[in-house]
Amino acid sequence: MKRSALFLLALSVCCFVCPNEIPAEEPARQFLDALRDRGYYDVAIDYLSQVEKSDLVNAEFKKELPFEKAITLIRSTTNLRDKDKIDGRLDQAQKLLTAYASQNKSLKVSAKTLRFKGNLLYLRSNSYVRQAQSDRLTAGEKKALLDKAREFLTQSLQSYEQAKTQIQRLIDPNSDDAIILDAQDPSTKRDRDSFRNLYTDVRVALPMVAEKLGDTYPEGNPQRKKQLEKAAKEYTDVYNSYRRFLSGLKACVYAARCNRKLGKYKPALVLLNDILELGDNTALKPLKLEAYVLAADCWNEMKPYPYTEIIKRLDPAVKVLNRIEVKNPNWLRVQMELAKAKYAAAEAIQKKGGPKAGVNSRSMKQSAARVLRNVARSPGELRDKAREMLAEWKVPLTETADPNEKPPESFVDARQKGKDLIGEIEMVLAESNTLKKQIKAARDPAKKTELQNQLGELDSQLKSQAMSALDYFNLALSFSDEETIRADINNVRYLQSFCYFVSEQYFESALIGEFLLSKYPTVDGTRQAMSLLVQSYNILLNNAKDNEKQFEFDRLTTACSAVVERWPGSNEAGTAASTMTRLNLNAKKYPAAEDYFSKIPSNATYRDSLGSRLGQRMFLDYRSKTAGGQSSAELTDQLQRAKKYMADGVNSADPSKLDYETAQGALLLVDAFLSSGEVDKAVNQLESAPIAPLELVKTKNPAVTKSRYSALFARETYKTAVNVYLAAMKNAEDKQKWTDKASGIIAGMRRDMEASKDPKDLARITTIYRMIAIQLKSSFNAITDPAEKKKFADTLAQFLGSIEKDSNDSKTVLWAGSTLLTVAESLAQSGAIEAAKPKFQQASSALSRAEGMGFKGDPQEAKMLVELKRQRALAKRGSGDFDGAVKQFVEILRSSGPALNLQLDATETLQMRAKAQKRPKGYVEAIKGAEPVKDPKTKRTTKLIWGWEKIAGATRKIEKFRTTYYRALYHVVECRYEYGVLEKQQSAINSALKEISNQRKRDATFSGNAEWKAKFDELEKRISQKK
Amino acid sequence: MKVMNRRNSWMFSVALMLIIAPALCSGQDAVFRLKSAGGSSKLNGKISNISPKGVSIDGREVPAAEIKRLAFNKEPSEINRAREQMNSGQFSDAIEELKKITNPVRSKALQAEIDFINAYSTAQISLRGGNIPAQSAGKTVGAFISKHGESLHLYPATEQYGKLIFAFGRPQTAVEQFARLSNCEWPEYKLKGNFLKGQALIELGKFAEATAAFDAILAIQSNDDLSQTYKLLAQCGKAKVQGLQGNAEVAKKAIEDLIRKEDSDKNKLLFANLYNALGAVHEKAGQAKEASMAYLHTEVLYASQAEAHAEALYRLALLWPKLEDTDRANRARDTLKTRYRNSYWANKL
Repeated sequence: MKRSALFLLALSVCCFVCPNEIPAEEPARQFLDALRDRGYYDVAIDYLSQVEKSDLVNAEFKKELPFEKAITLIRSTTNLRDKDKIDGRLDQAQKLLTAYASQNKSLKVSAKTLRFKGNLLYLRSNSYVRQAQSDRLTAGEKKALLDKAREFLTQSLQSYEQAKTQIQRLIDPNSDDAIILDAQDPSTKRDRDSFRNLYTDVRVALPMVAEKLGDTYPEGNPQRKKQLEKAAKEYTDVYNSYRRFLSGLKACVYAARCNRKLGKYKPALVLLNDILELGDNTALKPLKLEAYVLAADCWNEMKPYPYTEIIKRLDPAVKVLNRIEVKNPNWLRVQMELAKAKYAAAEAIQKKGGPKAGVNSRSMKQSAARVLRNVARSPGELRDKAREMLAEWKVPLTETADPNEKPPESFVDARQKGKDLIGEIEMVLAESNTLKKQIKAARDPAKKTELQNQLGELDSQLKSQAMSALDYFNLALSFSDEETIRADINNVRYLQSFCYFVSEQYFESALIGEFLLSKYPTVDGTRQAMSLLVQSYNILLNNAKDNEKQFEFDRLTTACSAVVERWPGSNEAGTAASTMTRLNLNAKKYPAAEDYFSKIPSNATYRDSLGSRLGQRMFLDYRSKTAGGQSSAELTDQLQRAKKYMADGVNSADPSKLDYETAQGALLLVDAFLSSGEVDKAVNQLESAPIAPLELVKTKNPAVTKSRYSALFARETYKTAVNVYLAAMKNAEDKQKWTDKASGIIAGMRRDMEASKDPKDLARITTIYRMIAIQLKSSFNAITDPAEKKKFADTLAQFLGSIEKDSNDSKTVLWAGSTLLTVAESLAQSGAIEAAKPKFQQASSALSRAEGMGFKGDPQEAKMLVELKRQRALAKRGSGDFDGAVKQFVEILRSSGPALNLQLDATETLQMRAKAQKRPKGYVEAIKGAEPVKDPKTKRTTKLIWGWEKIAGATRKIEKFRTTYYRALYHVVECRYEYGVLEKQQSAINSALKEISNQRKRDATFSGNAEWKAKFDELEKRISQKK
Repeated sequence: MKVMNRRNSWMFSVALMLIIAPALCSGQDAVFRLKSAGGSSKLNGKISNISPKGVSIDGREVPAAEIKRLAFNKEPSEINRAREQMNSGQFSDAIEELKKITNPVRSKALQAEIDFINAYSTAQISLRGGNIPAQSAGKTVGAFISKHGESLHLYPATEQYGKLIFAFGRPQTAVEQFARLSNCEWPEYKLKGNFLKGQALIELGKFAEATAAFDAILAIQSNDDLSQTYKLLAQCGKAKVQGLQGNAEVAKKAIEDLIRKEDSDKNKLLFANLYNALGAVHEKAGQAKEASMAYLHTEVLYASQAEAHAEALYRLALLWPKLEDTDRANRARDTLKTRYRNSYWANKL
């Protein structure tokens, strides 16, 4: 009774103390951990932001949010390649950790924060170590990066050491700060256990950082030895402390790795043996593989070569590899070592002799060859080495078939036989692809022919194997009955499609795909066949004659749309979507191309390069439309999207595996940034981004130099660079910096061209100058704001002046003068005549300097001089020196004859002089001509400068000079009118009007030329008002 | 399923077989009856009548819900071995074991035992993503139901049948099978029948009928653990319906209240369904990100709940591309197609 009473009392107390329902919450911690374990870091970050406002999680978890966010950010960087993104996330994490630690000043928080700070600093160092591995860097640059990495690693070590000491204080029961276990409160034990785990983490991390620090030093450096020895010892200590845990076993392998780096192979193998002795637990497989690879490296260095030990260790492991593992690069390394050991064993057997020595040795060699063949057929670093070994052993690459094999007797049997052949076909295909690449790269014709012959043999082998496989699959289908699972039949159909595809029977391959798609879309095997379907029609479309492509195009489009719709996000949908993206790109249907592009899975290897191409094409389209005067919100959007595609493509590309297309994408991206006014971004992309076009040209990156468009790329880069620097100069305070940069580009370009000693390159300099001038003019004309226009003109004048001043080359000076003239003319046309005058003077002076330097030796010398003088005359005219300009024209006309363009410029100058000097006689000269000369042949007096009337008369009846005629007539009328106004002579004004009405009688529509009609209408109105 | 699980918990049944073997040899049948306090008791005698409702042994009626298993006079030992294998999830082994019975079985009751073990194991292999398509498994279970309409195993078989029909894409026909369960007297299958019916009706967009099915569960008077679980599932189902009908806030509140109140470790089935319901509500409200977050809970925390997990994978496979994450969509799709290849959701994708 007493006991029952006590129980009831306890129960009633419990009812008071404990709420009726224990409040539960969302399993936030588990969810977060699960997300991070799966690498869903972005979702985890979103989730953490979401729960900040949610009342589904408890306050304790919310308090930890900054810390959890920091950890998530740190861990997320392991999946990233973009340095800026990594740095950005680590910066954010560091801020969060610092804020978290400053708000929670406890030993626990400090210890946790220090542990992750150590991790963060370690990751920061990684980024520098990776950069230092670039071949593009000089020794000095590499050293600077490695010094920085060491700095972070040393800080990381300090952080981990501090964390270790603090955690020790928390978990050591004898410490004053120890977490006190309360039997009533299970959370105290959980807390203590979590710090124990953290302690283990820190112990493993410390040698890891030391090892990395050691790795930053070159071989032979005492610091390297010191750090690696330290790491090896600490790893071994961890192993000895946690032998039964995965972290301990990992430490054992890492200790062996450090020993191997130190050249201590025996101690390394002693450690590795402990791992290799472990059972075949799936969780241990990756670790054991790491141990196998390390052991293989160590065995390889041992003398005598321990082949018996190697076979004993590796043979059982290799025998149970599955289809994926057998191609894994690390397993290939293991297989190669096993093959080598078996071959050594075979030699030893042979050498030892005995009754069965020959048979046993041969059998061992066959076994070695079987293993090595797989390595020789698998793409990767070891393939060539394996082939060399096979050649040394005098063993063929393909295995011969067994003639005594029984024919298949069931569906499963026949399918398996076919599948075995598919394995062979895949290997041959891989080999064939490599050969194709080699043929493409081969320069020597004999070598090329040899490779082509090899490819021919492989193709025959491929087709014959595909036919044999098809026989097996047909046989399998003949064995199928009601009991055969549909998915299995589908699988066979898919394999049939594959065989047809590799034997280049694309219609057959596509037909099977279409059949599966229409009949069994939901059955396994159908989806896999879709890539073949798309590729088959794609090839057929490419091979079809231009006017017979519609059938293939329609089938391909239908198939792709169906695949994209049915299996969105799948690899097959990716293939279909990328095909449709290309087709739409070719048809310039950019919205459709973008739509399909968005359906390509983000992990598809081809996505970024296709995106880059899409961006480039969209940008080029934008450029051509805006150059044609179009502008709209859609076009601006198109530019933004094009930039994004190009930026994604360029940023995700690996600079060490750069190709020409990506380099071109990077260059166009610079241009695109410029087009959208993002000058800073353009400068960054041009000079300092991981794939910076200017850097590629300067360092002669093979992706550019090996391309047949190498010279074009360089020219375009220089041109773009000048534009970028001029744009940067416009708003810069330190204009000199940008002037220097732009001038440097011009000088560099000239140096490059001259160094090539190719006469074509020298000729190209002028072309490039012209292109830059055209681009500058077009940029200048695009500015509508007069103040802005003047500002840009000043910038250009400063830049061109600096080029002219620094250059000792007449062509460069001529280019600077000509471009200055263009700028001054544009400025004057916009109404800023006074502002233009100094620029005209500057142009005139530059042109005179170029003339003084001369163009001796240039085949175009005479032409160039005439052009120079013409431009100088125009420059004089623009600066207000009309007499000088007329004099200059007279000089040119005397020496080079009456070219129409010169006559137009000279006559226009006469009219401008009359207007400026308010001289009625000047108008008469402009109409009737000036500078009388006697023709030595006819003895008649003619005018050297024709005047508008003669120009009009000369061009009136010639169709191609119609516009020139209108221009001349217009000025005749204008001159008469202005003469009449100046002389107050109504008859002159009337005759001006009469001239227009006569012209209207002859041709009321001005030959349909609306521009000239409008001009004459306006002139007529102006004159009538005066009348 | 629960019956099978309960049966699973009786791990000592093999040992028990050794004890009862002499009884069987003595020419008597036996009924192993579940005790409310746990364990089981055995009734020996002559089984005179078997029906879906229960068994008569020597004039005593034993309700189906209380029967752990039956044992028949001269029962081949393979049957019991196969039954044990089935109860421990070794379904292929169970089928193989039955194939060893070479002598013809004359007793109809014994034949029903053999056919049930075969049908149930076949259904489970299929529903767990094995190499038997749902349609083919459905044929086997359907054949059992037509042949042994008066078997004690009618309702467990009907449950499997309904699930298989649902899996190969006939939700309306599945509803008819589940309705049969909801009308039976076996409380466990009544609860399951209503719940499964409600779920299938949601899929058919028949929200009023679905709500009625869930209400039927809530109206059941019993308050044992199983009823409690299904009542919570019914609340979850009703909230989902509300959300799908556009009452997102009400639905969200109801679901979040359950998430807050219930223990996620002890009731994984409920939580998997709660998060799927929350996902559906968000999805209906056009909140793709929130929806994916909810379904992800099921994906990463409750993957052991096969049916809910398959649905979550299906939804994620369609949601990720909207959030521009096609590789995750790919992964969800691949998991669904490999792990639950015979499921309704894999076939719907």
